[in-house]
Amino acid sequence: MISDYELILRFIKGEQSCFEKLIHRHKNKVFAYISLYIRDQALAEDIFQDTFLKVIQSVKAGKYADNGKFISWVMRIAHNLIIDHFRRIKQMNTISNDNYESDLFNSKAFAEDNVEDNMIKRQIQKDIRNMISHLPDDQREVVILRHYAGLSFKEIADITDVSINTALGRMRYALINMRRIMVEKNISLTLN
Amino acid sequence: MIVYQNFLTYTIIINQGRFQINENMKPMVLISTQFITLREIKVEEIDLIEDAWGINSEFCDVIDLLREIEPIPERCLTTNLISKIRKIV
Repeated sequence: MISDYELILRFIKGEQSCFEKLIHRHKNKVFAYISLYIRDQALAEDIFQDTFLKVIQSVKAGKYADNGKFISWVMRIAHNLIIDHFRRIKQMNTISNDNYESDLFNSKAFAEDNVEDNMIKRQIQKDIRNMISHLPDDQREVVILRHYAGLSFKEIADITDVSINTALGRMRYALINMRRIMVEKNISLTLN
Repeated sequence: MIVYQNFLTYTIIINQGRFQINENMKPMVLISTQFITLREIKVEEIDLIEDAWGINSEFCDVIDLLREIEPIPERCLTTNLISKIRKIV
């Protein structure tokens, strides 16, 4: 498989399709991070697009230096765009992220199951999303970056500007909190 | 001294005696853990720091639940993005 850096170099040289390959390679991770962090689907889609557009601008401006972690760099850009968004919201002091009820169930799994299975899965997934959304922001971010964006703790620590131990501690608290919610709300892989 | 006949049976000659092993008994090499080098241990998908903290083993129930959701962008979203990029580049 061609490396991310090789694709970027080819894109810079004029092979436009190489960037499209990069998008297809990483879109799920980037989208998962943004959509789980921001519950408003329309906004999540905007930030998803803005992230890749910003990536292009930065690559073209020669701001990407290869260290073998292209996806980590993309996630940092997405992270910054999310932070910028919340800063703007805070300044405007109008809209709360909680006002939106998302329906982000574009899961691969749904395509293959029957209606009943889908309903059960939707309910479980809704519970899991609620569980994640109830976490404090710093804990939620670590969970999403680790489990949905697939970043290592070192990368997460870099992106969130904390030490690896802090990131691990946040993950631990997040998992403890989620387990508590699981028990309280009786959430499990089978619908009760 | 060990004399191999085939994979299932082999003969051991111990001092003066001759002892026939039955086919249920296998040489150590077939039942013991093979030696592997450090390079053969696959660690690409594993975060060693996380592994050292034992997070996955301690919270496997919660992590299994997290794996139940896998948000993916709608196809039209990716298509729109690619067409925007084509216009820009």
